[in-house]
Amino acid sequence: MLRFLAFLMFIVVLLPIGLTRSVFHSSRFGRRFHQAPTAWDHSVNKL
Amino acid sequence: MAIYVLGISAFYHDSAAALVKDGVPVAAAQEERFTRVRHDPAFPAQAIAYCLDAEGITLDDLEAVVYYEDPQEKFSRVISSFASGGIGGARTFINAMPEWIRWKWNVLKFVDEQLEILSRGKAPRTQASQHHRSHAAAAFYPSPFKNAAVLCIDGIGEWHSTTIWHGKGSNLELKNSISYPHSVGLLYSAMTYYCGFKVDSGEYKLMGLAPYGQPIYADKIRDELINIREDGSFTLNMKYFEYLRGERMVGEAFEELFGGPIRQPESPISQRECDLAASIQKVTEEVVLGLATAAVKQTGERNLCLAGGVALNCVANGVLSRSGRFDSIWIQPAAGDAGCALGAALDFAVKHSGRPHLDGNKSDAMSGSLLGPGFGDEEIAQFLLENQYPFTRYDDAGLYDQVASRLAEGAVVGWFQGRMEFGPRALGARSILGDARNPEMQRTMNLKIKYRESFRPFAPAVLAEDAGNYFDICEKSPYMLMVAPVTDSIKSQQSRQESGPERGLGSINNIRSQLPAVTHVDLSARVQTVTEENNAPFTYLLRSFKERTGCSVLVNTSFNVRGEPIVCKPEEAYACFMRTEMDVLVLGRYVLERPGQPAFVEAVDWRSEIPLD
Repeated sequence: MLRFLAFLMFIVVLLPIGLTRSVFHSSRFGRRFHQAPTAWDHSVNKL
Repeated sequence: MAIYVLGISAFYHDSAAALVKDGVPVAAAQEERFTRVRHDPAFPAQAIAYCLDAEGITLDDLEAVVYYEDPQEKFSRVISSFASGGIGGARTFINAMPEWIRWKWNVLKFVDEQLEILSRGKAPRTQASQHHRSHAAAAFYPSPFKNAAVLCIDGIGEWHSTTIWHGKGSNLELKNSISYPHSVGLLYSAMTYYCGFKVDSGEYKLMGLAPYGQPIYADKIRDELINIREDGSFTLNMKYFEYLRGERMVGEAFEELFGGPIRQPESPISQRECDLAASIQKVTEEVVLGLATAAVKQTGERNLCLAGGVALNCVANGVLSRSGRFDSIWIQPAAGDAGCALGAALDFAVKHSGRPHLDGNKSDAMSGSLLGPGFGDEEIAQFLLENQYPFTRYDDAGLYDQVASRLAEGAVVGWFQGRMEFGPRALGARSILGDARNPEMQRTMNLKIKYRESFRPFAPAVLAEDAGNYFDICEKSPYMLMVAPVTDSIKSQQSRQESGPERGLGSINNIRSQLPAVTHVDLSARVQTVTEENNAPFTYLLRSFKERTGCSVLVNTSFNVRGEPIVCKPEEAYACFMRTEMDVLVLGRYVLERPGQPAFVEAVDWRSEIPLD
């Protein structure tokens, strides 16, 4: 039962999120983030 | 009344428990030492029982129980990771989720239930710390510094893989962080996996392999795998990594990049693996130096504390030390996740008790990291007499003189004294010792004692006051976490030449210095500086050896065979002694020579019981 729920969760929630991220390169997992000028979570200048 | 706080780390690898009394660590141990399962991730029931027994208390006496990380935050990272991993992660996700839903999601409740099963009283409800906060607390609070920059670098916690903290008195403030999936620890682990070693335990093998190679792949790593910024931050190019899907670290893209398949475990090691190791080590050193420099800039402090698995990379630590960018560096001896148990407890305890060790004249609050179980002479004698093992008992002076004499004769000695170390290194409480001047010692220890790969180097323990005579070391290294070059004065003639010593895989047994057993192929050594404050018996032994030989250096390696956790009890030390070709075993004041010991018969061949690491 739990495995089935996990399968549903993967198909209904995770895959669409992943697809959106890969299309828009909108997450820290994507290529755009890899090319960003900094990877610090908080801007160094503001510290 | 004393305030006791129990810290717990568990359910990933290296489970551990630690007990802090009035702001001072008084007991800590990894579960693996009791269960004899290397890197045991299980609930640390025996380690907790030991901690309570060490202070003669029950769970009722605890002010707090603190778990080392936040399960909900970790869960959100796991979900997010699988979302970005795509369809390839479906099977792993479906297999992993039931466990998360059943208990991992609410691990604090599970910990409470496990504590109840111990039947040692009623514990306060477990509360959660955060993974990197636990690392930072373990790095800063026991350190000798009133204020410091604190840098934690590991594989992954909840979200953070790298954090910078400002330690000020009894406070820790998070200044900045780098988050998953970007992690220098995971980058190093990925190369470890690619080179055919186990993730989370084989990294130190890769580090040991690096000096045999040339960093010919370093540019490729910089160009393709990691983007290192001038501000010290970095990201990984995720198209080369597969850990988002939870099954393996790297795959075809990585193989294509480096032009070859993942090395099969236990297959012969080639120059290629050495070059890969040298390359990832070089890039890691650059990243760590950049991060440490950023930590100093962002906090304004020049004293640096380190923790996290990457802080066990003693070659990188040596680079930091020699860079001159820091006034002083202190590294938590249990820098990996086991140390998070201590950090979680300290983070709570220091708020109530402050940092009492700063008021005294101690160099730090770790008691030499000798926080594990100890065994008195009576217990040892009982064990030996019950089993009719022949021994000789010595008084203090006689003991050190006798052991030093046997070491000088070339004997390999199992040295079991006092309380066990907390952390991955043997520091002279559960150690195998040998004469570092002996050109045969490295080969003997690797092949006849440890039964491990012949490329792996051994570390020297040296009297702190004499360290400068042998090693170009900038500061104390009480926990064997700094690599330093050997001094010119002890280098062999060939090593002094401009071309330097031969560094290929076949050169391991070449004589490079007056301390051939501990001088690695790049003329470096992973130094432990020994003081009376940190470990009095070991200091007396080194002094005795110096009186006899003029040399205050010994080979110090952990008291175990390959794949086995370091021994904890006298019976485990005796078994290890008899399974190997060690010459002498010292248990407290009792000295056992191999000749004369009864035949050691075991029902099952231990080699089949201990999996290779």
